[in-house]
Amino acid sequence: MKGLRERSESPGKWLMDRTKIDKIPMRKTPDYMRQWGGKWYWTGALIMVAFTYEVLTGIILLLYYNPADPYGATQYIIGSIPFGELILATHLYGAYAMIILVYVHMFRNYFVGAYKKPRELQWIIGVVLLALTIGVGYFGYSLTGDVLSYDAQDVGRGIASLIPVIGRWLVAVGFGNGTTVSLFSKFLGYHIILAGLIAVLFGYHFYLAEANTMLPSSKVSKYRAPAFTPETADMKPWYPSNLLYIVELGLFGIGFIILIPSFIGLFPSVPILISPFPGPAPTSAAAALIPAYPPWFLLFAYKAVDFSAFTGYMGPLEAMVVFTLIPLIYFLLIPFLDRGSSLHPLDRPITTSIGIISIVYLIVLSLWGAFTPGIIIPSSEVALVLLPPAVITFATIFGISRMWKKGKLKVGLKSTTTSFFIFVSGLILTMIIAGYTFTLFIGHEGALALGKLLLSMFSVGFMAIGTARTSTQLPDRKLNKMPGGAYVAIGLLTLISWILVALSIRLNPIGQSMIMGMVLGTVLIFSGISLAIYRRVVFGE
Amino acid sequence: MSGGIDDNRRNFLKLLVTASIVASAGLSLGVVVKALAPPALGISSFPTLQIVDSAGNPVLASDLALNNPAALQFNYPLQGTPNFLLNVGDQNGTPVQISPTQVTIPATGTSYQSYGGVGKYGSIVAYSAICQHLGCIFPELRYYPAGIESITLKGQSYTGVLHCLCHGSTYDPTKGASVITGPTTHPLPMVKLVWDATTDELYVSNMTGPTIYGRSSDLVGESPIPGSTTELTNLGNPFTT
Repeated sequence: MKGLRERSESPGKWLMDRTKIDKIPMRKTPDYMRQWGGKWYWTGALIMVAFTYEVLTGIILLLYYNPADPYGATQYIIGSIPFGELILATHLYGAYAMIILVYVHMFRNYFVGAYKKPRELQWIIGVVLLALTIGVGYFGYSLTGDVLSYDAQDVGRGIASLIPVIGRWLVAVGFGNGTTVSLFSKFLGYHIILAGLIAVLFGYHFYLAEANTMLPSSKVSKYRAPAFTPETADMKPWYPSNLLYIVELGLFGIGFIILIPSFIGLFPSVPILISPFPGPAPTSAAAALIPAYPPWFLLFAYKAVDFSAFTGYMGPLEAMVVFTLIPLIYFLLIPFLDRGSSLHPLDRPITTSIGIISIVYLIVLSLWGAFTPGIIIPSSEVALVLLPPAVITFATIFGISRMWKKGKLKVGLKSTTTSFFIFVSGLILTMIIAGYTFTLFIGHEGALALGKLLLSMFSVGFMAIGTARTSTQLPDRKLNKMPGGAYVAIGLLTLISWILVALSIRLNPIGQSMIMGMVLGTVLIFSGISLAIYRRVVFGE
Repeated sequence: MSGGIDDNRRNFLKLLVTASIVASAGLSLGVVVKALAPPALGISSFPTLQIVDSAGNPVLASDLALNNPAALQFNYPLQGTPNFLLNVGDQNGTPVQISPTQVTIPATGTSYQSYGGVGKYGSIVAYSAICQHLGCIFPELRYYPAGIESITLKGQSYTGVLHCLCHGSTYDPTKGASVITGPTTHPLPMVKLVWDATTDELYVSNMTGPTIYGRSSDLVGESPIPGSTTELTNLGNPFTT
């Protein structure tokens, strides 16, 4: 650093030497993993960001929670604690973000074959982490003591009691002896215990990811397992490149986790499934107007329970087994079911088809559960909605796969890019057919369902396109092309951030906490953008 | 790596980005720090409450026995701040007319005006039931009605006083609970009673004197009393074993 008086060590050097951040034994990664499109290599890091946010806000909420009067405690946090409403709403949305990110991470790695040798154990721990995350979400969601929490307990208790042999014991272990304080003390306990388990398992999962190196781009792996990212001398060291990248991810991640619910919370009446606020008290009049929804991430299972096949001899437990346990076991065992060494989706048509149809079913069943809560669906209708997408998916993927293997799939460009775009088209076609059959039965909801369908279609398509982009390495960007613009942009963003911070001091911590959320989210995202520009200008990525 | 950008420009950009992140981190920290402290409980001004019994019926001034050795207490202005309700009489059983007087606080030398007694004879007064020395309460801090003697450390005896058995503090209820003997250096806070002559009902509406022991303010520190009444409870006669 310039301009300091003579010292044996500058403060920066002192800090670096004492904290030893630059010596953290984390792997170097190639440049392409940090450049545009490299975000797909960091889905796991984003989950870690969301989880960290959940732990921090969770600790604050824990300091005010009261298992003897959960609804009262929730109302106290919202109505009397400075920024309590914001912390609770962002804790909820952070959980939602984490669950979505876990699915994104899982499916991304599923489609690229990251579960293959030598990463089988890494994958299995990951699937266990998915189950734990949904479990933590279930218990956390139930802690508010509102009407939906009581609905969730009732259903949970009901299904647990149906389990043969250990059902009674499980109900006592999981739900207490019937008193409020017994139930909510246990739920709070399990919420924290499962989160702790996630932390421990995640530690090992991440260690394995580092030890095995990240699955490299297809240019390096040539779509063959085992695939490693070789560490070459020209790779930038972890500090500062990767650290700055992770900080940027953190700023954007937490920024959006805070901004989105703050924005949604400004609207007067938001559908309960996505509302950042708890529902009404179980004994209030308003409670009768709300259908017995589960949290949105369990809607798919909720709908399965309504299939008429599961209302007779087979009941809710069988529905859960078919639609939850069996898929979970499938994903757990996939490294041993798909044993080939090819990483290309079209070389593994069964795997790819099942993956696509899982996503389609998750989305379709969730929407179905949201629009027809509690309505029994006859088996004929179930078949009509669920079978066509499956047939289309399998037929399309197998067809494309056969063409690809025979080398008949060359439509200019690079074949990898082409195949992925065809993969995307197959996906979109599937979604359209599923959506069409689905909207037939929604009737008056047609336009709305179609809109939601398009949204899910685009997001899945985007996911697929994003995956396609990872396979290409990006051309060298010339540096020095925009330092002038960089100063202006970063300077402006920083100035606006500081002005916003100064203005926000006047906000009422109790009545205006969601507005503070908008400010805080914006400031965090501005910091993220500034850091992104800095990295682009200084490091060229 | 970064060929072409000189250190000055780079450091300036670093500074800007750091400033931006400091803004984010600072605001986040501010939110967390504020959220960690639950809001103070209390009220903004002294309420007016009616003294009632456990059944909710108003307590009548004429029902208060003169020189009652049993301790009658009510909470005011918050739920955990008890006060004695005394009907003071002399050795002959005549009610003592208590007038407002100047009360000195020995610790600071300042003084304040106490309230007068209420009731038909002006003999009913109320004082904080928490000793100003180290916070002892009933039965250590108790009222010795006229006729019952309290013995202090120096062997002197007093009667018709509020005396604390913990360390010997003694207060004079006829003179606004002023300090008779230490170790207390503050008189007991006095509660303002209001007597409705037509209905014989009693109300409390204010306080004067030092702050209630252990509080930074009489009005803040715990839950307010709900409703418009405060209950008079009989804690028993400590002089009978």
